[in-house]
Amino acid sequence: MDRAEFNRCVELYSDAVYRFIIKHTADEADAADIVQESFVRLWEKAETVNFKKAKSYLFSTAYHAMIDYFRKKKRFTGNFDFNDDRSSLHPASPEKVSAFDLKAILNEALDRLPEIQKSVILLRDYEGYSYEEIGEITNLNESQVKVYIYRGRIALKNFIKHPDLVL
Amino acid sequence: MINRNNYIEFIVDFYDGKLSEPEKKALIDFLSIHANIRKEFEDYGESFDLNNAAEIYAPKSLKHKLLDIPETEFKMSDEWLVAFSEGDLVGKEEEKVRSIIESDIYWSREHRTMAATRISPDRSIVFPNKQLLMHNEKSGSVRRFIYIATAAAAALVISYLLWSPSQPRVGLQNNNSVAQIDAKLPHVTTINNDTTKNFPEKFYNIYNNLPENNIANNLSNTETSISLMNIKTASQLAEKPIVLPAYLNDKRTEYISIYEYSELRLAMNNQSKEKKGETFSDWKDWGLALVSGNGSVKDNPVSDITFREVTSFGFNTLNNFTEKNMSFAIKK
Repeated sequence: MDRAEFNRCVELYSDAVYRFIIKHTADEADAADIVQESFVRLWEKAETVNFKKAKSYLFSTAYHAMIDYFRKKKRFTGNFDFNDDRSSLHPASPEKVSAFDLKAILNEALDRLPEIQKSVILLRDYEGYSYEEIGEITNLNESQVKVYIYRGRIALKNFIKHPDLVL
Repeated sequence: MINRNNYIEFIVDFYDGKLSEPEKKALIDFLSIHANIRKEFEDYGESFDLNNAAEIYAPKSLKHKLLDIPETEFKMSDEWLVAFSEGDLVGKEEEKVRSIIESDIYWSREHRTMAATRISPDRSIVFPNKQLLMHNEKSGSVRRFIYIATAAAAALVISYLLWSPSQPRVGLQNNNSVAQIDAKLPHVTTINNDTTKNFPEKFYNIYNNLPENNIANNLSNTETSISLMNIKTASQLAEKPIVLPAYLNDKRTEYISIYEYSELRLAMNNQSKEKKGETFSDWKDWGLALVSGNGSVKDNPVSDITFREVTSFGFNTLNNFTEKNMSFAIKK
């Protein structure tokens, strides 16, 4: 990958990686640091990383940098465990979901997912990655990705099926 | 690719030992997300063990046997719904699930709810430091500018090092004025160094009283003290007010120190300056000629002062006066 291609990657993918990371960290500065670190690593590996593979390389690097970030910050929010595949969610307080705001409810539900389920669903929905590509990014096999997506979807669906919520 | 239409063949081939490692892995992955099929897989496996061993080695018959099993009634579930929503289903399975979703109110609602779990990215969130990540190649003009700026900076530094006013210089490079000195030049000086704290008193004794017997010792102490004097930078000279006597047409004053030094030497050697013939006017004329470039060190009135003495002694003495904020004008 040459300089121009790298700059093209910045143009094309920096926003997407940033959105993906900030959904987890909920901190703009930390997310920006992780994205920058990912691009620095990409530049360091520019000679070996093909432009076509750059996107998944960036997401993969950012994902693992994010794991390191959480481990360093020792952020345990009750559902933080990258090996945790729990699908049960704590019921949200009624006040929080009473407003008819699907996006807010969905974000609430997403934040309650185990991190790994959240990651695979975000990669699937944000970027449209296949199970195989998500597996490459997250170091999971294809069937594990499917299972996590299945459990995550069911959890989200159950969460947003509030009695007052008519879709 | 294993799917719900062909998994039976995979199961049979698995128990026949005909599956390659990738195929086995694919089958296991497939079974891991299809619990009902995994149950079938396990049941078939158990039945083979219980049956006649000969049947195990008759895959075709087993295959036919399996294929002859009537298809069980399709039962809609969340698994099918998720698979449908994710676009994993094809062919008859997709059609079947679609027809159920379209006809069944419950599953229709479930499907809409499932579709609502799709998360769309917020495009308003953008990475703020994009420009910082860019690796921009510097243009020719920028490169040229950087080169010129660097060269200019280097030139400034070199010039500063060469011509900095804070750099000690030999006396000839000083450009300071001095007050009038038309009277006898007293030798007032102060030395901070402890080893020479008695120097001023001795110096006065030498100059004013000229004790005959102690000249040699005092000279020795004086020279030592002079060499230990603190050397101040010439920048302090620039801060002094310029008081230029009318009869001096040159600002440089080193020759005054040299003149004093010469007198001191004469006194220490118990020589009369009249004997040598030099006068203050002689020294002044020589000094002016020296600093203006029309004279040389060896042309001094006593002709026995070296260039080293002219430079070091003149400079040190002058700076000592400067350090103490003194001038030749107030010495008397």
